[in-house]
Amino acid sequence: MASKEEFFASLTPSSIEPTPMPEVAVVTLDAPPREHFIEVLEGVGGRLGQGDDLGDVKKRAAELVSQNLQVLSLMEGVEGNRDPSAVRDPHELKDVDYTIAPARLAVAENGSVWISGEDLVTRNAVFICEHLIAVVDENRITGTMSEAVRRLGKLGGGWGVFISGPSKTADIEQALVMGAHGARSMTVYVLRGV
Amino acid sequence: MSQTHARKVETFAADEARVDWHSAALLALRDKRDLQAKSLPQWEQMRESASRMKLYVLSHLPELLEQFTSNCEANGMEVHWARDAKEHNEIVASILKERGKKKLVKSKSMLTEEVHLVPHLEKHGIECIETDLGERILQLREEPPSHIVVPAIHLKKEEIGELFHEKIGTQAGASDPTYLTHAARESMRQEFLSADAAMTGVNMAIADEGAFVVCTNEGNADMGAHLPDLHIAVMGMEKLVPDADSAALLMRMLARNATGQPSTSYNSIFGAPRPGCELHIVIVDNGRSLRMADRRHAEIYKCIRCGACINTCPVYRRGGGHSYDYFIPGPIGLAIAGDNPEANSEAWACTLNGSCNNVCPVKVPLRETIAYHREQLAQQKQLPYHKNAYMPLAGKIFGSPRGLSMAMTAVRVGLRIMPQILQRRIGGWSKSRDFPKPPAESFAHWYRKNRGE
Ligand code: SF4
Repeated sequence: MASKEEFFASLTPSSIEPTPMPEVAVVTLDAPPREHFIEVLEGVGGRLGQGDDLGDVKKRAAELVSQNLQVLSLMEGVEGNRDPSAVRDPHELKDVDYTIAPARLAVAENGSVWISGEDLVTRNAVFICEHLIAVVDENRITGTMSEAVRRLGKLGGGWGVFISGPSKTADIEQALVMGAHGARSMTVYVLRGV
Repeated sequence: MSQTHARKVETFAADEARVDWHSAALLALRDKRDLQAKSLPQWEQMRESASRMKLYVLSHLPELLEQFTSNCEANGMEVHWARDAKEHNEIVASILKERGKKKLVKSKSMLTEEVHLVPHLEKHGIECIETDLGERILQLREEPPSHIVVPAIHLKKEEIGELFHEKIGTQAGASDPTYLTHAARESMRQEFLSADAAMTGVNMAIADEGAFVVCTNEGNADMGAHLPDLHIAVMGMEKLVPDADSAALLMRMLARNATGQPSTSYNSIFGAPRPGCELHIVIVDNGRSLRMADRRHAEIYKCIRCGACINTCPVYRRGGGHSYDYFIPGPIGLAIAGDNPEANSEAWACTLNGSCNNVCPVKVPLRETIAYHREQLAQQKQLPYHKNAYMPLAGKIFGSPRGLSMAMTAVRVGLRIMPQILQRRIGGWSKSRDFPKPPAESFAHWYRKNRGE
């Protein structure tokens, strides 16, 4: 096993002439982000939540709870039937049917939402559930990934994920199947901004 | 010397219907990629920026490595350095053994294939579970991947149905992809929940953040990494990018170019371990810096492993991924390892048509690098297919206008009178293709007649 010094000492100098860092353009989109986001979201297998008010999300959560499903809500003001503050270990979430989580951003060009680890009791909360519901403010929709990353600011020191639709695979004869290892479905509520 | 590429293709090409099916599946990926690329008016500028950004990285590796790793350490990760495959495997084994770990779930990583990690860990009594569905299928079949993005592209659903029936107890004769995928989901869930360590690769390592991006569609990297208290991420040092803008640029291109999706389902950005857990990064050279010391070979390390060059390659499409000696097939595999005299037919498993260059999101000069390998091998007199014997003669014929004209006449006549069945005997990946109808006269002849003196 090498020390860092030994590793650096063993590197052969690169033959590539010193190339300056190019301008990496931060591309923006002209299309109205809300409509564009919804169109792409549906294209990647996601669904748009019915309603554009937090009350609609609350209603949906209550409905799921009344069907005896396990609902973990990490969204302030929305009640599930699992207590987030009681979660000690991610393995405990293995029987969660629905996770409801706030998204800090959405990206129109690929229908994804950014979920930050800071908003989750444990990172796996948005993967281990059977179904995922994300909630985003329409003012937080950006056009492209490059705009989104600019808006996120610092990435080091934390964790987060862009999620674009449900978990999927096409590993068996290129047939697209939803629900490989992560959530089988992904619903996004886009709330009207104030 | 191992079997030539042409010899291995014969096995795959024997089933003509399968070859057509395989080729069509890959072309469909290529078509979806084209649609996505065309949907972005800035696509060509993005390719140019991505290419230059990677050239910047490759010409500033020590500084960027220093920056990335000191930021990772400041973010609470532990960094390890591996000069070669052996060091890499020893590092991983000792991290696991020191903590008494017995079961590792891993997501797809070309690097772990390159260094043969899994057999090494198994020798140490550590169970390794591949969690990408395609990779898992191949692990159960004890077979290597045939593609870097769609590893089981060569298999039919019936073959997978049989395998799953035997290994995970699906119904006999069942071959519906949805049924099989969901059965795998259930069985893999148990593996995830019982693993005590996780491993992922790295798609982009962001130097100025000390954070890295892992892209999957299945969510297997995240499902694995966020359960146990130990996550080991392994990366070749060329995975660096300077900043988040550069990572965003590559995230915009990777899935579009790989499978024609606007994004992978998950772009997970790791900038710190989970509270109370450990996150280790192993940085690997394993010959990279040495290969980068040769300017005509160096640019292969711009590659972001999207697989598009493989999908578009006519030799790959008709020959399959198992016909290559190197574990990465297709143009990028040839460009990395095609100068290895042990696999010396590989540099010829290419028509130099350059389709690969045209689809590459970071402008790796694939065709030029493969041609360079042929040049090197020719200089070392390491030519396959008896080329040492006939190439000097061919050189004489093609070198003289008269010789060339006579030879072409012979080919036109030959193609007209030789039955298709005999033509196919000529072999290799061209076996299942029909030769074109030869023109009645040569271009030179036509030109003299119509435009000439
Ligand atoms: S060489 Fe280019 S096209 Fe081929 S896998 Fe690498 S990035 Fe993709």
